[in-house]
Amino acid sequence: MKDVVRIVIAMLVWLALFSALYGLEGVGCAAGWQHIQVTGATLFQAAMTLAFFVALLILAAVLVGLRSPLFRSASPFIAHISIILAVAALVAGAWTLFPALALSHCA
Amino acid sequence: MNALARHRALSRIWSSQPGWRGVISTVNHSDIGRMFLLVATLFFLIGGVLAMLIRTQLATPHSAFVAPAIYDQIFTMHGTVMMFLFAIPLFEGAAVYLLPKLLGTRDLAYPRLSAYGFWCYVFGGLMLVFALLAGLAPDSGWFMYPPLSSSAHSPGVNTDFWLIGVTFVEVSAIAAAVEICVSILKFRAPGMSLDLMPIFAWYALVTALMILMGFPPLILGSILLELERAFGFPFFESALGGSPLLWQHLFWLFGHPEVYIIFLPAAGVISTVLPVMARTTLLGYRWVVAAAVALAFLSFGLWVHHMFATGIPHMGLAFFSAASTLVAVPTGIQIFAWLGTLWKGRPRLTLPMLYIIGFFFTFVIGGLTGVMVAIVPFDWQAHDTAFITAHLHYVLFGGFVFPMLAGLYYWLPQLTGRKRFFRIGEMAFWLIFLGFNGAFVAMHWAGLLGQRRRIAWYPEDAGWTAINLFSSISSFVMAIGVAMVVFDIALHALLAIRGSRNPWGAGTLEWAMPTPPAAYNFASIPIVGDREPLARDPALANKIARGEYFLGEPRGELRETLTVDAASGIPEALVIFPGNSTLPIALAAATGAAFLGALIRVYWVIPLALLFVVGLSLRWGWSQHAANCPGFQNVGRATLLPQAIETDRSPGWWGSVFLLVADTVLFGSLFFGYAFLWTVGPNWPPPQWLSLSVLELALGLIGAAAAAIGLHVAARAASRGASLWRGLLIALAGAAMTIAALAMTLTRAGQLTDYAYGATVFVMIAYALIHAAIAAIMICSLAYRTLRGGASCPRKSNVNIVRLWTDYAAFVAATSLVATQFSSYLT
Amino acid sequence: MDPAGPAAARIATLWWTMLAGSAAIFALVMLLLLIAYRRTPAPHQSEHRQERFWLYGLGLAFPLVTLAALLIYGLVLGETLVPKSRDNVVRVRAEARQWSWSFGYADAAGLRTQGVLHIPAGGPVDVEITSLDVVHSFWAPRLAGKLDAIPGQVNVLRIEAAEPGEYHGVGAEFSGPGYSGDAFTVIAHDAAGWAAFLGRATE
Repeated sequence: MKDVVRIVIAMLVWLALFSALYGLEGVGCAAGWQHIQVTGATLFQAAMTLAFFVALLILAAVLVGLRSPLFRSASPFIAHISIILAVAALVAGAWTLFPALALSHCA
Repeated sequence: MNALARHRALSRIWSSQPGWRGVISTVNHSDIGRMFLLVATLFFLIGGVLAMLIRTQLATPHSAFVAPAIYDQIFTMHGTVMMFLFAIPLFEGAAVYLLPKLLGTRDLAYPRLSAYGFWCYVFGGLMLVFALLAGLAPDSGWFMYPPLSSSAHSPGVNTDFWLIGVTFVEVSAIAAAVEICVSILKFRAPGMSLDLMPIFAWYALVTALMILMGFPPLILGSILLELERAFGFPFFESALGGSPLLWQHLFWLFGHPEVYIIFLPAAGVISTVLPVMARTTLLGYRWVVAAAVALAFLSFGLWVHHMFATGIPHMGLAFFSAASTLVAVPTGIQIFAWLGTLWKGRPRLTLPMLYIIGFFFTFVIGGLTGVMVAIVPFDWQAHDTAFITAHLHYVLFGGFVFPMLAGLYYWLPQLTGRKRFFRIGEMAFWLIFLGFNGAFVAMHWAGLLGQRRRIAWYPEDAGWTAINLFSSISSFVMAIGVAMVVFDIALHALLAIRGSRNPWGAGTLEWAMPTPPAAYNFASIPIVGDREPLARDPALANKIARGEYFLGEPRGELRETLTVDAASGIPEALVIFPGNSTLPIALAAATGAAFLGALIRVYWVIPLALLFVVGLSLRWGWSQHAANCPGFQNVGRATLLPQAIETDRSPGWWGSVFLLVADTVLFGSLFFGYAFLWTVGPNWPPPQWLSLSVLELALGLIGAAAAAIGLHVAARAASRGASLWRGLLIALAGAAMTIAALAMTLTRAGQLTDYAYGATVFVMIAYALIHAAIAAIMICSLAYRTLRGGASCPRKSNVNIVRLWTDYAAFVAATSLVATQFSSYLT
Repeated sequence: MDPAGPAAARIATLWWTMLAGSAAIFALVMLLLLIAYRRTPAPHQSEHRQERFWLYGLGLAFPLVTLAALLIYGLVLGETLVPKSRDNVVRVRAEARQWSWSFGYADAAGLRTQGVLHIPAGGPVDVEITSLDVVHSFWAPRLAGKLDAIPGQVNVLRIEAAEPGEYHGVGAEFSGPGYSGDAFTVIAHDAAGWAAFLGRATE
C-alpha cells in the first residue's frame, strides 16, 4: 500500500495545487482583489505569484522527499517510477500554473 | 492425483450450475466477464444503429427523416449508450475476464460483487432501452446541461431516465473498480511483484482508480439535478442562488477523465498485443507505467477545457489550456514506446496488428486535433461544431474501438480454443478503416465551414450538402464492416476447428492454460519470477496442470486461492471464495427497485427497497465467514498460511478503503459545489443563513469523537483478545449523539425550495447523516455477532472494517457540521 | 474559414499554422511505422540506447518543445482577443431565448431589434451576452469565436467587422427542438449608416 502511495502522491499533490490555484483565482476575482493595491502590484497579482512559488516549493519538497532514504521505496522499480512522476509533477506544476504570473486578471 | 483427476475435481468445485440457473447464480469471473462482453457488444450495436439514424438524417439538407424531437433523443442516446453502456462495461468485461488469468489466480477478489455489478448494469441498461423503445428517451444531449434539462424546460420523464438509469449503471462501474483495484494489488501469483505485473494490469489498475475518482462527481451532479427536478431544490437555478455552471463543472470533472478511462484500457491492450506481434518485449516498461499514471492525473486537470466558451476569466482558461497541451506528452511517450518496440522486434502483419495500425493512423490524427482545440482561441471557433464531433470520434473510435478489435482477435483463440479460417476479418478491417476515415475526415471539414453539432437539419445554401452525403455513405460502409466482424465471430464460435494452445507465442499466463479455459483457471497457482513467465519456461502450463505449485490438491468443496503482499508478491494468506449464489441478482434487483421508485416517483417504494438492500447486505456480510477459524493451513510446497479473513487487513478491509476513496471524492465534490455557489454563484447571499447552534455543534463533534475512540478501544481489545463491549458501547453512544445532532441541524435547513444555500446545507447534512447511520448499523451488527458468537473467528478484521467506516462517518459529520454551522460568520 | 474581422482572421492564421505542424507530425509517425516493417533490426542494440532515442528524445523532448511554443502562441493570441476596458468601444447587449435573439444598444436606450444585430464596421464592439431561459451560445463565425449565453450571468465578447456587410450568426449550444433554426444576422454599417441607425432610435 505504501508503494502505491509513493506512486500516486506526487501527481495527486499537483492536482490538489492545480485545483487550489484555480480556486484562488475564482475567489480573488469574486472578492475584487484585482482592485486592491499592495506595494506596486494588485493584491490579486501578489496572491497568485506567491501561490505559484509556494506550489512549486511543495512539489520540489515531494521530489526531494521521494529521493531521500527516509521515504524512498525499497523496490528500485517503485523508487524509479515514483521519482519520474515527482519530476513530472514538478514540470506539470511549472507548465500549467505559469499563467498565474503572466496573464490578465479576471477578464 | 493425476492431472485429469485434478481437473475433474476442480471443475466440479468451481463450475456454475447448468442452464438458466447458472446464468443468474454464477459468480465465476470467466462467466461474468463473458456476459459483460456480450451485453456491452449488444449495446455497441444499438448505439451503432442510432449513429446510422443520425447519418441518415444528416445525409440531405432539410431532411424530413425524423422530427427534431425524435432526433434529439437519438443523438442523446447515441452518446449515452456508447459512453456508459458500451465503452466502460466493455472495459469492465475485459478486465473481469482477463485479469485473474493474467495475474495467475483463480478469481477476482469479490466474486459476488462482480455479479452484483453485472446485474446493476443490465437493469440500468434495460431502463434506458425501455425509454428508447417507448419514445421517452432523454433528449437534452448526453451532457444534460440545466436549465435545458431542468423540469421547466424538460417536463417529461425523459431526463429522469437518464439521471437515474445512468447513475444505476455507474454503481456497477464503482463496484467493478473496487474489485479491480483489490484484485490487482492482492490477488496475484506468488512472486509477481509490482514490476513483474503484466502491463495490462497496470493500465487496469490506473483506470479503476480513475473510475473511483471520476465517477462520483457525476453521481453527485445527477443526484442534485434529480432533487431539483423532483422536489424543486434550486441547485442550478440562477434566480435562486444556484448556478447552471455548477452542473457543467461536475459533469466535466467526470467527463474529461472519462475519455482517458476509455483510452487507457485500450492502450493496455496495445501494450500487450503489439510486443507479441513484434516478437519482442515492450520497450521502456517503467516509462509506460509512469506515463499511464501521469496521464490519469493530468486528465483530471482538463475539465474546464469543455467550458472555454462559458466566460471564465482568461487566466483560469490558461491553466486548463496548459494542462490540455501537457497531457499530450505522456500520450506521446506511449506512442513512441510502441513505435520503438516495433523497431526493436520483427513485426508480423497479423489481423490484430492490422487493427493496431488502424489505431496509429486514426488516434494520432485525433490527438493532433485534440492539441488544436486545447488552444483557447481556436476552441472558441471550433467548439460545438462538427469539427469536435470528428475529433472525439477519432480519439474514441481510433483510441478504443480499433485497439479493442485488435484485442478481440488476439484473445479470441484463448476465449474459444478455436482457429479462424475465413479471411472475413481482414475485409471487415478495410471496410471499417476506410468507412470511418471517410465519414469523419468529411466532418472535420463541415465543422470548419461552420456546421454545428446536434443540428437536425441544415439549409441547402449552407454548402455542406455534398460533404454530409459523403460522410453518411462512408459511415454506412463502416457499419457494413462492423456487421462483418459480428458475422465473423459468430461463424468462428459455431464452425471453426480447434486450435493450438498458444497460437501467437505469447509469454503471459493466460496462455498457460487449456483453451477454452476451465472455470478454475489454474490447476495449481504458479510461482512467477519473470514478466513473461511462459516465455521463460515453456513447460509451465504442464507443471501447473500437474499441480506442482500452490493449492494443487483440492480440499473438500472449497474454492481456494492466495493473496500476496501488494508490493513484493510474497504469499500472505489463503482465500476461500463463496460459491454460486443468487444473492447478487437479488441485491441488484432491490437496488434497482429503489432507483425505479425514484424514477416513477412512487416514493414509498424507496425506503422499502432500501430495507431489502440493508437486509441482503447484512446477509451477504455474514455468510462470508465460517464459524470457526482453523488457523494456519498448508497451501502446498510446504507453506503454511493463515486465512485471509483472520488477518488484520482482510480483503473486505481493502475493498472498504477503495470504496471510501470514491466516497471521499463524492463528499469533496459536494463541498466544492457548496464553495462554488458561495463564491461564484449569482444572486448570493441567501436571504437567511443557518444560525449557529452550540448544542448541535458540541453534540455532533463530541459524538463523532466518541464513536472514533470507541472503535479504537474495540480494535485494541480485539488484538489483545479481550472483550469488545466497552469500545462498542462508547462507539454506539457516540453514533447516537452524532445522529441526533445531524437530525436537529437537518430540520433547520430552512425552506429548501426557496434558495440553493438551504438546499445545499440540507444535502451536506443528509450525506453525513446517512454515513452516521451506516456506521451505526455496522456497529450494531458487530455487537450482535459478538453477542451470538462470543469470540467468533474473523473478529479482528471485522472490527478493523467497522473502524474504517466509523472514522469516515465521524470525519464527514464533523466537517459538514463545522462548514454549515458557521456560515453566518463566514460572509 | 472566411474571416471578416481581426479576431476571426488571427484565429484562422492559428489554424493554418497548427494544420501544417500537425500534418508534419502525422507524416513522421506514419513514416516511423512504415520503416518498422521495412528494415532489418540491428542485432545488438542495447535496450538503454533505444529507450534514450524513443522515450527521452521522441517521447519527451520533442512534444515538450513543440507544445511549449504552441501554448505560448495561443495564450498571447488569447490575451489580445480578451476585451480589456478600452475607450471607443461600442457596447451592445444580446439576449437569447428559445429560439430567438433580441439585441439592445448602449448608445440608444430603449432601442431593441429582434434577430438582427446592428454594429458599426471597422471598430471593436463588445457584446454583453445573457440568456432568459436555457444555455445558448452567441456565434458569428466570420467575426469572432463563440461565447455562451448563461442565465443569471453576463459574458462579454469582443467582435469586429472590418467591412460593412451582412454576417451570419447562430446559437451554438444545443438548446432543444428549435436549435437547428436558431440563427440571427449581424449587419455592420459604415459610419453614416450607423449614425442613421442610432438616429432612427431617437426619433
